[in-house]
Amino acid sequence: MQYKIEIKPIFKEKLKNFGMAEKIKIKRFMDEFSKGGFQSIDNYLIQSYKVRNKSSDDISKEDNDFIVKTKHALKHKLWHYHAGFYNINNEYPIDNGYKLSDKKDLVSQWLIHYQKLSDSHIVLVDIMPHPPLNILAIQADKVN
Amino acid sequence: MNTLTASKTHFQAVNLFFHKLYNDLSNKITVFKIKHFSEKTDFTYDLEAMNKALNSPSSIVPKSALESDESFEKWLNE
Repeated sequence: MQYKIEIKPIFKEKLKNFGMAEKIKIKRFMDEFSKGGFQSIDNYLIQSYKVRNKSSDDISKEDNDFIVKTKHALKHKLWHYHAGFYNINNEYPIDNGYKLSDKKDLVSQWLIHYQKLSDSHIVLVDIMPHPPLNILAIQADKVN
Repeated sequence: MNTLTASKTHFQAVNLFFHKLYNDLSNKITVFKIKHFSEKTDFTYDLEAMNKALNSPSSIVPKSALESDESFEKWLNE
């Protein structure tokens, strides 16, 4: 099967500004998808654990816009993959950006947001921290 | 003529009522599903930023970009 990856300009622009370690992690995600689609990225293991990859329709109930966002995610077929950066305050020590969740999969603060148009076609939309964080605080933490 | 106008207005009112009822029910069902069937999550995202990204044109990532770290960097800076 041929796998197709598209990318939005904002994703590419943000990608340019990440460090080499972060670029390699995003390339790893793209590379895995291009080789075997979801079968490949859902079975990629880091220290024997899977990386969380799921539909974005499970918005927090605490979010004031949770209905709008849930519907928005379903309408646009939004999914997210845990990107694996950064290891802020050493809370994400696995692969320098992941921590083990209660469900025994790997989660990180930063997410790759994408559209799952089919099992063989994704569009990389944006890459963001969650919950939304102050980027300046992250940069300061990295410097310190 | 007046009867026709009255009927049209009546139809529009009924149509609006059912449209509103559909939206209300749809929202209530979504809330019910989230509250009773979804797992606890802290996940959310920036709706405005996401819409901005979604409304921009996309380009295909060539296979050649993923061949090596160097080709990836080269593609990024194209």
